[in-house]
Amino acid sequence: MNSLKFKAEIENLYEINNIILSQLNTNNKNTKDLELIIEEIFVNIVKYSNADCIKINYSYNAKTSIFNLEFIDNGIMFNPLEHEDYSKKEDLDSTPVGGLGIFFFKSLSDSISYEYKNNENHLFISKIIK
Amino acid sequence: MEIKKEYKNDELIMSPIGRLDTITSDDLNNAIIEEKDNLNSLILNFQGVDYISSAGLRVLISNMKSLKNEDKSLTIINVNDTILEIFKMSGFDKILKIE
Repeated sequence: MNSLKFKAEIENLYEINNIILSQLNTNNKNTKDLELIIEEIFVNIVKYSNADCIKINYSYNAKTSIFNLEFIDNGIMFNPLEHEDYSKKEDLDSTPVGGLGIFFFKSLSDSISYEYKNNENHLFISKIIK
Repeated sequence: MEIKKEYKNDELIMSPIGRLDTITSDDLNNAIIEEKDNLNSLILNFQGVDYISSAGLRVLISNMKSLKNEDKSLTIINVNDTILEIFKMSGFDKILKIE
Protein backbone atom coordinates (compact mmCIF):
# COMPACT_ATOMS: atom_id res chain seq x y z
CA MET A 1 0.00 0.00 0.00
CA ASN A 2 1.32 3.42 -1.01
CA SER A 3 0.27 6.68 0.61
CA LEU A 4 0.11 10.31 -0.46
CA LYS A 5 -0.78 13.35 1.57
CA PHE A 6 -1.53 16.67 -0.09
CA LYS A 7 -3.04 19.99 0.87
CA ALA A 8 -6.63 20.19 -0.32
CA GLU A 9 -5.82 22.49 -3.24
CA ILE A 10 -6.93 22.02 -6.86
CA GLU A 11 -3.42 22.73 -8.19
CA ASN A 12 -2.26 19.40 -6.73
CA LEU A 13 -4.54 17.39 -9.03
CA TYR A 14 -2.01 16.69 -11.81
CA GLU A 15 0.75 15.64 -9.42
CA ILE A 16 -1.58 13.27 -7.60
CA ASN A 17 -2.78 11.74 -10.85
CA ASN A 18 0.77 11.38 -12.19
CA ILE A 19 2.00 9.63 -9.06
CA ILE A 20 -0.93 7.23 -8.79
CA LEU A 21 -1.16 6.39 -12.49
CA SER A 22 2.59 5.73 -12.66
CA GLN A 23 1.74 2.43 -10.91
CA LEU A 24 0.29 1.27 -14.20
CA ASN A 25 2.31 0.67 -17.32
CA THR A 26 -0.71 0.84 -19.55
CA ASN A 27 -2.67 3.68 -21.06
CA ASN A 28 -5.88 1.86 -21.90
CA LYS A 29 -9.46 2.96 -21.36
CA ASN A 30 -9.54 1.76 -17.76
CA THR A 31 -6.56 3.97 -16.97
CA LYS A 32 -8.48 6.95 -18.34
CA ASP A 33 -11.45 5.94 -16.22
CA LEU A 34 -9.21 5.77 -13.15
CA GLU A 35 -7.88 9.25 -13.94
CA LEU A 36 -11.44 10.55 -14.13
CA ILE A 37 -12.39 8.83 -10.85
CA ILE A 38 -9.42 10.42 -9.07
CA GLU A 39 -10.19 13.89 -10.44
CA GLU A 40 -13.87 13.79 -9.55
CA ILE A 41 -13.30 12.56 -5.98
CA PHE A 42 -10.36 14.88 -5.29
CA VAL A 43 -12.13 17.94 -6.67
CA ASN A 44 -15.32 17.13 -4.78
CA ILE A 45 -13.39 17.01 -1.50
CA VAL A 46 -11.44 20.21 -2.25
CA LYS A 47 -14.51 22.19 -3.27
CA TYR A 48 -17.08 21.08 -0.72
CA SER A 49 -15.53 19.44 2.35
CA ASN A 50 -13.46 22.28 3.90
CA ALA A 51 -10.75 19.68 4.53
CA ASP A 52 -7.18 20.90 5.10
CA CYS A 53 -5.48 17.83 3.70
CA ILE A 54 -6.33 14.77 1.70
CA LYS A 55 -4.61 11.46 2.24
CA ILE A 56 -4.77 8.83 -0.49
CA ASN A 57 -3.84 5.20 0.02
CA TYR A 58 -3.49 3.20 -3.17
CA SER A 59 -2.30 -0.15 -4.43
CA TYR A 60 -2.43 -2.20 -7.58
CA ASN A 61 -2.53 -5.96 -7.60
CA ALA A 62 -1.28 -7.15 -10.98
CA LYS A 63 -2.54 -10.70 -10.36
CA THR A 64 -6.13 -9.64 -9.80
CA SER A 65 -5.87 -6.48 -11.96
CA ILE A 66 -7.59 -4.56 -9.18
CA PHE A 67 -6.61 -1.01 -8.32
CA ASN A 68 -7.63 0.04 -4.81
CA LEU A 69 -7.93 3.64 -3.67
CA GLU A 70 -8.82 5.09 -0.29
CA PHE A 71 -9.46 8.83 0.02
CA ILE A 72 -9.29 10.18 3.58
CA ASP A 73 -10.17 13.74 4.50
CA ASN A 74 -10.93 15.62 7.71
CA GLY A 75 -13.69 17.74 6.19
CA ILE A 76 -17.40 17.70 6.88
CA MET A 77 -19.03 14.29 6.94
CA PHE A 78 -20.22 13.38 3.47
CA ASN A 79 -21.26 9.97 2.21
CA PRO A 80 -21.46 10.11 -1.59
CA LEU A 81 -23.33 6.81 -1.64
CA GLU A 82 -26.28 8.57 -0.02
CA HIS A 83 -26.13 11.42 -2.52
CA GLU A 84 -29.06 11.49 -4.91
CA ASP A 85 -27.97 10.19 -8.28
CA TYR A 86 -27.70 12.48 -11.26
CA SER A 87 -30.60 11.74 -13.56
CA LYS A 88 -30.17 11.95 -17.30
CA LYS A 89 -32.51 14.28 -19.10
CA GLU A 90 -33.61 14.27 -22.69
CA ASP A 91 -33.72 18.02 -23.12
CA LEU A 92 -31.33 20.87 -22.52
CA ASP A 93 -33.52 23.03 -20.29
CA SER A 94 -34.04 20.40 -17.61
CA THR A 95 -30.45 19.11 -17.64
CA PRO A 96 -28.80 20.00 -14.33
CA VAL A 97 -25.36 21.57 -14.37
CA GLY A 98 -24.27 19.95 -11.08
CA GLY A 99 -24.05 16.41 -9.73
CA LEU A 100 -22.06 14.96 -12.61
CA GLY A 101 -18.80 14.45 -10.72
CA ILE A 102 -20.28 12.06 -8.16
CA PHE A 103 -22.24 10.32 -10.91
CA PHE A 104 -19.03 9.71 -12.87
CA PHE A 105 -16.96 8.20 -10.12
CA LYS A 106 -19.86 6.04 -8.95
CA SER A 107 -20.52 4.83 -12.50
CA LEU A 108 -16.89 4.14 -13.36
CA SER A 109 -15.88 2.34 -10.15
CA ASP A 110 -16.29 -1.40 -9.76
CA SER A 111 -16.93 -1.13 -6.03
CA ILE A 112 -17.34 1.73 -3.56
CA SER A 113 -17.73 1.86 0.18
CA TYR A 114 -17.72 4.68 2.70
CA GLU A 115 -16.96 4.99 6.37
CA TYR A 116 -16.78 7.93 8.79
CA LYS A 117 -14.36 7.29 11.64
CA ASN A 118 -12.03 9.36 13.82
CA ASN A 119 -13.67 12.51 12.42
CA GLU A 120 -12.57 11.59 8.91
CA ASN A 121 -14.30 10.58 5.71
CA HIS A 122 -12.94 7.33 4.26
CA LEU A 123 -13.97 6.54 0.71
CA PHE A 124 -12.84 3.20 -0.72
CA ILE A 125 -12.83 2.57 -4.46
CA SER A 126 -11.87 -0.48 -6.50
CA LYS A 127 -11.35 -0.43 -10.23
CA ILE A 128 -10.52 -3.41 -12.40
CA ILE A 129 -7.77 -2.51 -14.86
CA LYS A 130 -8.14 -4.89 -17.77
CA MET B 1 -5.16 25.76 -22.23
CA GLU B 2 -4.38 26.67 -25.83
CA ILE B 3 -7.50 27.62 -27.80
CA LYS B 4 -7.36 28.42 -31.50
CA LYS B 5 -10.07 30.67 -32.93
CA GLU B 6 -11.12 31.10 -36.52
CA TYR B 7 -14.04 33.22 -37.72
CA LYS B 8 -15.99 32.55 -40.91
CA ASN B 9 -18.36 35.52 -41.01
CA ASP B 10 -20.42 35.14 -37.83
CA GLU B 11 -19.48 31.49 -37.29
CA LEU B 12 -16.62 30.92 -34.87
CA ILE B 13 -14.63 27.68 -34.88
CA MET B 14 -12.93 27.31 -31.53
CA SER B 15 -10.33 24.53 -31.18
CA PRO B 16 -9.23 23.81 -27.61
CA ILE B 17 -6.07 21.72 -27.31
CA GLY B 18 -5.42 19.28 -24.46
CA ARG B 19 -7.45 18.35 -21.42
CA LEU B 20 -10.80 19.81 -20.50
CA ASP B 21 -10.72 19.30 -16.74
CA THR B 22 -11.18 21.17 -13.47
CA ILE B 23 -8.02 23.18 -13.99
CA THR B 24 -8.44 24.08 -17.68
CA SER B 25 -12.19 24.30 -18.24
CA ASP B 26 -12.38 27.92 -17.04
CA ASP B 27 -10.08 28.86 -19.94
CA LEU B 28 -12.60 27.53 -22.45
CA ASN B 29 -15.50 29.08 -20.56
CA ASN B 30 -13.84 32.49 -20.52
CA ALA B 31 -12.94 32.24 -24.21
CA ILE B 32 -16.56 31.50 -25.13
CA ILE B 33 -17.92 34.30 -22.93
CA GLU B 34 -15.42 36.69 -24.48
CA GLU B 35 -16.59 35.89 -28.01
CA LYS B 36 -20.26 35.10 -27.69
CA ASP B 37 -21.50 38.60 -28.53
CA ASN B 38 -19.54 38.44 -31.79
CA LEU B 39 -20.91 35.17 -33.12
CA ASN B 40 -24.11 33.59 -34.27
CA SER B 41 -22.85 30.03 -34.39
CA LEU B 42 -20.12 28.40 -32.32
CA ILE B 43 -18.33 25.26 -33.51
CA LEU B 44 -16.15 23.55 -30.91
CA ASN B 45 -13.56 21.45 -32.70
CA PHE B 46 -12.59 18.68 -30.26
CA GLN B 47 -9.91 17.16 -32.47
CA GLY B 48 -7.23 18.17 -29.98
CA VAL B 49 -9.18 17.33 -26.81
CA ASP B 50 -8.15 14.00 -25.29
CA TYR B 51 -9.83 14.09 -21.87
CA ILE B 52 -12.96 15.59 -20.36
CA SER B 53 -14.29 15.58 -16.80
CA SER B 54 -17.50 16.87 -15.26
CA ALA B 55 -15.97 20.36 -15.11
CA GLY B 56 -15.63 20.36 -18.90
CA LEU B 57 -19.15 19.07 -19.38
CA ARG B 58 -20.51 21.83 -17.15
CA VAL B 59 -18.85 24.43 -19.40
CA LEU B 60 -20.45 22.85 -22.47
CA ILE B 61 -23.94 22.60 -21.02
CA SER B 62 -23.98 26.05 -19.41
CA ASN B 63 -22.77 27.74 -22.60
CA MET B 64 -25.17 25.75 -24.74
CA LYS B 65 -28.00 27.00 -22.53
CA SER B 66 -26.90 30.63 -22.66
CA LEU B 67 -26.31 30.54 -26.43
CA LYS B 68 -29.68 28.90 -27.00
CA ASN B 69 -31.33 31.68 -25.01
CA GLU B 70 -29.87 34.10 -27.54
CA ASP B 71 -30.99 31.95 -30.51
CA LYS B 72 -27.40 30.98 -31.22
CA SER B 73 -26.09 27.48 -31.81
CA LEU B 74 -23.28 25.39 -30.39
CA THR B 75 -22.00 22.34 -32.28
CA ILE B 76 -19.20 20.00 -31.25
CA ILE B 77 -17.20 18.28 -33.97
CA ASN B 78 -14.39 15.69 -34.17
CA VAL B 79 -15.16 14.02 -30.85
CA ASN B 80 -12.96 11.00 -30.10
CA ASP B 81 -14.37 7.68 -28.84
CA THR B 82 -13.26 8.18 -25.23
CA ILE B 83 -15.01 11.52 -24.95
CA LEU B 84 -18.05 10.29 -26.86
CA GLU B 85 -18.39 7.54 -24.27
CA ILE B 86 -18.41 10.17 -21.49
CA PHE B 87 -21.09 12.09 -23.40
CA LYS B 88 -23.16 8.91 -23.68
CA MET B 89 -22.69 7.99 -20.02
CA SER B 90 -24.03 11.38 -18.93
CA GLY B 91 -26.75 11.48 -21.58
CA PHE B 92 -25.16 14.56 -23.12
CA ASP B 93 -24.99 12.85 -26.50
CA LYS B 94 -28.77 13.41 -26.68
CA ILE B 95 -28.57 17.04 -25.61
CA LEU B 96 -25.46 18.43 -27.23
CA LYS B 97 -25.28 18.86 -30.97
CA ILE B 98 -22.45 16.54 -31.97
CA GLU B 99 -21.34 16.05 -35.56
